[in-house]
Amino acid sequence: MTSGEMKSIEIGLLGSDADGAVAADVTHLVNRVYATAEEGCGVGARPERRWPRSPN
Amino acid sequence: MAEVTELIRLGELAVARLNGRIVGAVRIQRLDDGVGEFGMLAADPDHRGIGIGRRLVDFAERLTADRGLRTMRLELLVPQTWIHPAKKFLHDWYMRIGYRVVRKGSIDEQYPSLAPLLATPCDFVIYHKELA
Repeated sequence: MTSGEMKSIEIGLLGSDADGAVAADVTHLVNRVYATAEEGCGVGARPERRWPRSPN
Repeated sequence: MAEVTELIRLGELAVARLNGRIVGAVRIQRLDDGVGEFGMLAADPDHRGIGIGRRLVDFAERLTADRGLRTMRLELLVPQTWIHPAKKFLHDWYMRIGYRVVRKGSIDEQYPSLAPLLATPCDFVIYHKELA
């Protein structure tokens, strides 16, 4: 990683001002990551979303 | 999307942005027993290797410590009978950054209604890290 990339990553909690487009972007990202990482595990369908927790 | 919207409403969702674009996300919550937990960690596959996951975990740990909690917990969903490369990668990575396995939970026992939804039998492994 370059120092430029490191510096340009900004982390923060989403607040109530986050709009639907942000929620859609996050949903798309999470679905994409978990569908890829868990292919073959069967959890790509994310049944764990019904859990009280959010496992990795 | 309703799940994510609810997490945003609860103030439990942090994101990583690279040049303004969302490239990572993590859920951070306070558990009833006074322990913090992060989950749903996601880093954009197109931007692997630039520290997005590490930055998100650092943020989650700092936020949890600032809330006065001293232990961070996470769960990893893993197949019972075979090694999933992505899960192995995550296990090794969590161990490298200070997490230790404290116990293994069975989906069959704790979430029996969900077990049939999995394509393969899975456990969830619970990790803890004591925060400085």
